Amino acid sequence: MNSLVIPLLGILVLERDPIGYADLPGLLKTWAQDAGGFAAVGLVLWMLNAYLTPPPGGTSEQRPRVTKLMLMLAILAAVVYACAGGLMYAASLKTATPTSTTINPNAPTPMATPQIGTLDRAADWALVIGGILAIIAIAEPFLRDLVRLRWRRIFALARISFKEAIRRRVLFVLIVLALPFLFPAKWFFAIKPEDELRSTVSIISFALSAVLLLMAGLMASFSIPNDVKNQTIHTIVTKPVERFEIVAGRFLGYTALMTLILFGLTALSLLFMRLTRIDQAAAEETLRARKPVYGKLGFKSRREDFSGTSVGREWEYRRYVAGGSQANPSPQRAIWSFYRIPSSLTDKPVPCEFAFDIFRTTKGEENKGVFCNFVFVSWKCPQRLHPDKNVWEWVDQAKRTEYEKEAREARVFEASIKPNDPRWAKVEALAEKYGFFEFVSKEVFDYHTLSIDVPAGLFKNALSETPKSGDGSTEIPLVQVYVQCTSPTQFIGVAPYDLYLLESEGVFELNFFKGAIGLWCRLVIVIGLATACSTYLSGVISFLVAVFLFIAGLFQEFVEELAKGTSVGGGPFEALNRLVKNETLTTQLDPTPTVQVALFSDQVFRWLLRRFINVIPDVENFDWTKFVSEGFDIRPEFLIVNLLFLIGYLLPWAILAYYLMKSREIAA
Amino acid sequence: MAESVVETRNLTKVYRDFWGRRKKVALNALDLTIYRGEIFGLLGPNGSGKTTTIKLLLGLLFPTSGDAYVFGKPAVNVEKNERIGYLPEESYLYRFLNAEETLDFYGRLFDIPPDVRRERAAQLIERVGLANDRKRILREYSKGMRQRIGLAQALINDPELVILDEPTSGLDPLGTRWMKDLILELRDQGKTVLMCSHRLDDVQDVCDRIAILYNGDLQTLGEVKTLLEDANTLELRASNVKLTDELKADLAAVLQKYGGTLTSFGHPTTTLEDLFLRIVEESKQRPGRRFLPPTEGNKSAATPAAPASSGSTNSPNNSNPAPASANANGGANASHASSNKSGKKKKR
Repeated sequence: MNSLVIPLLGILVLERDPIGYADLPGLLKTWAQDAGGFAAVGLVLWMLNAYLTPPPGGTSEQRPRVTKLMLMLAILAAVVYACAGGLMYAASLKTATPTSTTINPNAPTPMATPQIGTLDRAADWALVIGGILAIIAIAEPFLRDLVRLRWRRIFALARISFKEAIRRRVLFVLIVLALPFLFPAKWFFAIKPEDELRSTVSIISFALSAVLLLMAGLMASFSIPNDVKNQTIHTIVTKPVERFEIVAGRFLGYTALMTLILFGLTALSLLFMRLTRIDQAAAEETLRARKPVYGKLGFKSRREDFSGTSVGREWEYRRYVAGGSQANPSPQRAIWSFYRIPSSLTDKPVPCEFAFDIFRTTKGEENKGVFCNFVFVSWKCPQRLHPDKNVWEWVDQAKRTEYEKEAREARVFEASIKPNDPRWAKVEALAEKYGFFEFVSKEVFDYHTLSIDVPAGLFKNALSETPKSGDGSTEIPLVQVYVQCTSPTQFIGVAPYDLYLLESEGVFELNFFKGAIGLWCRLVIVIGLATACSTYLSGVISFLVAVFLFIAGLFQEFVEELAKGTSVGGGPFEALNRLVKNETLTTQLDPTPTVQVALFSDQVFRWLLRRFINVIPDVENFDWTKFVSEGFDIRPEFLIVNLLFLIGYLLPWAILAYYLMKSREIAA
Repeated sequence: MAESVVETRNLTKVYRDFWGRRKKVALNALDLTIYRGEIFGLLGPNGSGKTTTIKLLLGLLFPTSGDAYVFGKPAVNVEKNERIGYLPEESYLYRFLNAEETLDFYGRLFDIPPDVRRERAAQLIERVGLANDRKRILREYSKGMRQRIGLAQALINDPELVILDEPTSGLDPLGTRWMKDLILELRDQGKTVLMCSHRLDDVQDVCDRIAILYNGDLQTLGEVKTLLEDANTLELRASNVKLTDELKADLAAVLQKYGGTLTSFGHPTTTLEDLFLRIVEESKQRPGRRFLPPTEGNKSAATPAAPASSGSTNSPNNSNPAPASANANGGANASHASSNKSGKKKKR
């Protein structure tokens, strides 16, 4: 099969969903609990420090002390936290079940099965309220001092950072370092024509990330420590400058500088990209900004709990549905349910694009893919599995008969009609009338994205009324797509983002800049982290801390596994034990005293890691390279949530920086 | 009584190590009041607590105990800095900026409106003698030039209190004289000046009151005039009189009549600073080489100028046996030994 015959379209491979508005309430709650926990610890330390070292001579202004409001809020927070503790204890008593005391060293720490009861919910909310109180208490002096900040002073300090970087030729070095990577990748590497732009985008993104993040980290880490070392800070803090203004000035200065450089280099790379000849296949794949509508993927078969088959692939991103013959069809279906259908889909035929993985249990025919049937139904045309046969049928059989009759008359029944076919009008009319459209025997190839045009009438049918569920609690999908593999002994592998309805196309250039916003967010994180650390630590240590946290963020998934105890081979102490004893990862260890100690140490380590994990920035969340390189539009929603995420992460660091700077003896 | 500008009460600073153990008592229970319009000098050897005091007053350090108030506000209060100008010991400025940019930056920190900032920066650059170097970055400046621009930044807000840490450090004699004149000028404008210096002659020349610290303790506090006055010694100056043994004998007899003893008798010497400044001034008037290397026949030619017989004078050196000398004003002048300082001020 000549791959160029098939339209080459991109597909997103995302191991987790991008964070959108829907996730915000949950995120806010988690943030209040996590940040609140740190705030509570900070509050305790601060109050201990304040009461153990009273201000000299009773002068309350010598250092920020414990104000009445802070004390009151701290007491309230303590009370609420005590209540939360009590509720959690009560909940644990209620749900406690006798467990075996036998130690199975190889069993991962069991994940808490969430049986959310009233007590649990109350404890959860108590933690949120306690957290918010602790945050307000610790932030009270910070908020009070915020009104004293003057933008002109902050701007002056930001300008200094800017000028410093330019006069010390940092800007020049940055551009020189980044410039070679901005040229098209095909100039340097042998790349498949269709991957040309994809590779260029990836390389540009990687190079800019590496160079800019390193530079941003270095500049921000060393700025305040250098000011202290060179004593230039003495001439600043002896002016009417709030100390946090120095932190804010440095932070904003470097952020402005890196913003300028980032968007300058992005524009330059885009210019290079557009000035060079782009392969047609690459342009079709990447030089786009598709606006897809995604559905939720589910599986159905005769078994109620069917959730797709695992074919033993190491990467379990996709689940598989088995194919069957016409005589012995497979009941397995991959079903995408669309709960949101934009009204713009009712204007013209809507491309439904997809790319599946094929798993063959027998050798297929040369140059032939596997065949799939696609059934698109609106909520008005529900389907069910026949009780005896492995066939999915309409719930309303009378309607089905009526549809079949009309479709046969128009010669569109079980046919694969395309919009350029004269019968398309009838397909549209039937889809609008019955909320049903099928495309049979579509040949599917491994990892080649294909497209089916779906009549707009189907969406008109779905949007003509609002579905009402019987109990009112479950949401009914407006449109569902049933995918069936019709090649016997073959499987198709599907993942949530493997099929989508193409709503419209955006502008690639704009999308390219939107992708840069993700890198910008990561730059801001590094600058914020480094600046906050540098208010207390030396330049080198600040840089190392920022780099360490950022890199830990890249491996957050692994760190989470370690923290939850789900990593294969156990925690570090158990792993060390295995290493010393030359045991494999899966061998069951004897519960010797050494093993017991190792397991206990791992539990302590995990507890500490669970606290630490909240300090790690979720940098992967800000990476939009895949969207740009695969030609998918980055929704403004994602970017807005990114910004909120950024603020949520940096705010506690800002408060920490405020305290460190305010309580620091500059000349000590 | 004049309004107090700086006040410390029992001000103590103890430096501690990481574990909180006492490392050094840098300042011990300092009680000090500085009044509006005076030039106050902090003296003491290295490690006596001068700079620590200044840093405590500026909020760069926090006191271990006691209080420090500036303009009636605690030293850590940021608002008080609106009225303070500070020149650190080394001029710690951003070396990648030029003079104009430096003053503009510090002006912005005071939130001074742009037009006022520009005007004041131009005036100050002119005043500190850097008009021709206003566009050069500070990295290229000599130490003296950096000290000048440092002083300019300290004055950008037209402060009421100017704190100078070793203001003449790194300055040549011309610069030192210029700095001292400027300090006096500031006092004349009604500003309060607090300075600390190792150079005792500088402090003596300009300060109204001084405090001497040693090992963190205040040893002496008072007016320079009073502290330096030697009430047991009489100074007599005369002009148009030849130094003869007869005169010496007569003077000894007169003094003996009043119960005194003639302890020294001779021509006064000028200070090296005065000599240097005079030569530089003359060189400006008449450029060219004036120094003649000593030859076989003219050994004394190496002397560039004869000992001053006119111009400003200083008190007789103790090593000099001559107790009195001619005065440029031509008239006889008898005063207490310490009064020569006030004489200099009048001259300026």
